[in-house]
Amino acid sequence: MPILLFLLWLIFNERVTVDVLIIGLIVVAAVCLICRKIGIWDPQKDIKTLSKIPGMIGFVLRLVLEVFKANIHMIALVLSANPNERIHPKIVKHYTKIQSEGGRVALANSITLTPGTVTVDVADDYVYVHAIDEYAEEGLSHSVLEEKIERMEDNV
Amino acid sequence: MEQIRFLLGTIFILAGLFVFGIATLGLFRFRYVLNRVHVAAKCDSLASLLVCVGLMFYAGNLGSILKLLLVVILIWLSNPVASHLVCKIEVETNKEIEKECEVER
Amino acid sequence: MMNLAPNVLVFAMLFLSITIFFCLLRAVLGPRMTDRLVAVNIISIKGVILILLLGQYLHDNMFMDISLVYVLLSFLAVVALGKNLLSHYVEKEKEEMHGTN
Repeated sequence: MPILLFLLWLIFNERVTVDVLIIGLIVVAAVCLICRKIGIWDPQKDIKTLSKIPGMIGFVLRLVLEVFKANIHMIALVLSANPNERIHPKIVKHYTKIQSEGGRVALANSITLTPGTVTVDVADDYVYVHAIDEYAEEGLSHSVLEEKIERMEDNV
Repeated sequence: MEQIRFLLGTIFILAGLFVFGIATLGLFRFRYVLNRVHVAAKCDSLASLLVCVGLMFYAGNLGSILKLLLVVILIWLSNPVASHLVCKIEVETNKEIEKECEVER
Repeated sequence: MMNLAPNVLVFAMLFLSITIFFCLLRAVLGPRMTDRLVAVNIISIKGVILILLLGQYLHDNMFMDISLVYVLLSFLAVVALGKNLLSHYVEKEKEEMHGTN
């Protein structure tokens, strides 16, 4: 987390000079100390997440690819002659094995980000998903992204 | 070098504009809210990515590129939450949802 | 060829403004409240992109900071509107229940 905060500070400043570095170091140290006292930030957890970074990068690249693929399908759907007859909207109840809160947030966000499916609700072990047609539903039932999140969870 | 950068940036920006146009068209072509959400919010996420990549080619210095990347990340994080909220409100407030789509329980 | 860049940016801004206008039309027409919410969400994202294009057109890096803040603000606007709408709906539901009893 301190490294991330420091990077954010550097991006906001757009330049690297001595005064920027000193002020950044002081502020980042203060923020981390406050978070530590309140109990939001735990250094041990950060080390655990560090081992998952390669998986995360693969996940993001795959997500961008999926978004592109599904978007092309969506554009074809909009440009077709009669979009209202060709769609088949349905609310699907989808079971997930993912237990951790962060993994579920990642799953729900990636489902919503890929066109054709929107997460309506997350309850117990099920995710309620609104799918626009059979193609989107198909992609949901055997998705690569979910496997990737599951594999990341196993590494913990 | 300059010309390649300009060409790539222009191609990406025009592609992004095309997707924005599709999103707006989709708002009018579908009949029901939940179907509109799909087209609208999603095409926007792709279009913002494409336009920002195009602007990265135009800008060319590291600070601007990182800031544009930050804008894209923020849009991609906040957009799904907003559209999820819209869907949830629609499902909770509409009593005749069964007419519009099948519901598995 | 690089001197054509401002023309491309102006065209992009014009095109975005026209699409924003159509989104506004949807927000006014929308039969249900959620239609309007979707339209507002799209308008705000297009606004962010418009600010970015304007910043590139004027060669001013300040606009990027503004658009960063605007992303967060627009997200907050949609969430606040949604919550407000939901609480309104719950109140109305309660009143109807009392009315029938």
